[in-house]
Order: sequence, then structure tokens, then C-alpha cells
Amino acid sequence: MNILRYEPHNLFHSAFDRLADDLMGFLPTPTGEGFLPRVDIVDEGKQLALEVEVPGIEKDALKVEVHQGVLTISGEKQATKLEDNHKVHRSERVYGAFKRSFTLPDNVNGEEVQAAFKNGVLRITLPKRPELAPKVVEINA
Amino acid sequence: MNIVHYEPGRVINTALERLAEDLMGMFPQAQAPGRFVPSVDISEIGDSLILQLEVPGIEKDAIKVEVHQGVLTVSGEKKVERQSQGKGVYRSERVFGAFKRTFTLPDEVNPEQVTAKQENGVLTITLHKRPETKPRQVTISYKD
Repeated sequence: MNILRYEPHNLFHSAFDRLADDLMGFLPTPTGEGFLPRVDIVDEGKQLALEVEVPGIEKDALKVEVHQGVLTISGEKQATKLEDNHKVHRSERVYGAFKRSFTLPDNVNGEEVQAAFKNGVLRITLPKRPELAPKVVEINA
Repeated sequence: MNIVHYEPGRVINTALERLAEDLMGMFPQAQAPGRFVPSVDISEIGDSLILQLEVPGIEKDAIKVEVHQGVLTVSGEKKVERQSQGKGVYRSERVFGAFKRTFTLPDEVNPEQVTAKQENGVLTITLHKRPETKPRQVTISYKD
């Protein structure tokens, strides 16, 4: 997806808005079972930062890739295997394989991407390219 | 809430089903739109009752776990850590804020034996049930 302004958890975003978002595909929703991590994208001045919520995932189960201007985050969140005498009372957590891709704007440098994983949040930063002054072209007579 | 069998994560597939659940107020997350409510998985194995709450991005010491009079309370605050400058926020899906979830524990749970562990954004609370006690027969004193 392109990086556009989007705030589904604004207090004024009602259940109906959320339904509309789902139907229009703005909020990527899993079809059937599946897990989609929440992502925040923030402009931090000198760099663009993405924060991906992936609690309960091991670092080795995550993959971050930049290719041709597209950043892709993928991995799998595994549920703890239950033995026979293990009884489930409540299951709110969502599990499964996931993949989310973001088209990077031109002003970030995909080659110098950094990723850190802490407290179940994957933080990806991309430094911005210095602004290039417009190049004035001399017209030959 | 009481710990009863409940699996909203399994049955919610279509947007319509999710809307129905929201309207029925069964989703704790839907009852407080825009506020952070950690998802919880509760299971039981042997004599242990295990709760796993998702608390991504929360530092240690920012969560409090309390057991009092048969009620387990988990509270804390999920704070925004970054500083945004320039154009600010492009996309905001994460939810932040103070949270509190309470769980009424079954009688057999021993409040003295509670452990909690926070790892990779998941808080795991383990409680132990007292061994089953046989009913105690009371002798009736009789006077004629």
C-alpha cells in the first residue's frame, strides 16, 4: 500500500466506519484465520520510522525486506502448542503467518534500512535522502 | 469478568460478523474504541491457570498485576515512545493509553502462588489451583 494518512483508532471512528474500511480494503483484514500486525508510520524529521506490533513472535520468525522501493515485513506468529489436557477458556489473541508491504516514498533511502525488535515491537527506520535542490538546466543557444 | 469459555478470535471471519460482535459489546476492545485493551488468552493445564496478555511496546515496570479477594487485575499504560516531526504521522493503527482488565478467579486459585513474566511484548501470568479438597463431614452434636 502507499503511505497515506490513516487513523482508524481515532475516537470518532465508529464501528460503521470500521466496517466501511474493511469493505473498501483500507484496513487490510485477514480473510478467514490470520494475523495482521498493526503498523504505525511516523515521520521523524531525518528518518521515516515504522513500528510493527508483533507481540509473542520470536525475532528469528520475522523477516524485513526492501526491494525496488517496497518494504515488506513478513513472519509467523505461532500459538503455543496445546497438549491433550490443556483446556482453553478464552482466546482473543490472533495467530498465523502475515505479510505487509509498503511502497516507500522517493525521499527515503531503502538501502540504509535498520530494524530493531524490542518488547514485541519491530521498529524499522529509513533515513531520508537529503533534499536535492532543483537542478537548473542551461539552455544552449 | 468471569472466566468462562469464549473464543471470539476463532469465529470472527467476515466484517459483518465482526460488526455484529462489536454491536453486541462482546469484544472488550470494541467497548472502548480508540483505547488500548490488551488481548488475552486464558487456558488451564493440570493445576495451573495461565493468562497471556499482549502488551507490545510496554516497558517493564509499566504494568501492575494484583490479586485481591479473588480478583486478578492487570493495569498499566502503553506510552507513545517516538517523537514525530516534519509531516508527523502517516499511518496510525496502534492504540495507546492506560488500560485495566480484571478477571474473577475461580475459588480454587491460591492467591499466594502467582507468578508473572513479561517477554517479547507478552505478559504471562500463572496461577495455581489448590489441590482438590474432599468435602469435610461435620459431626452434628445431638442433645435430647
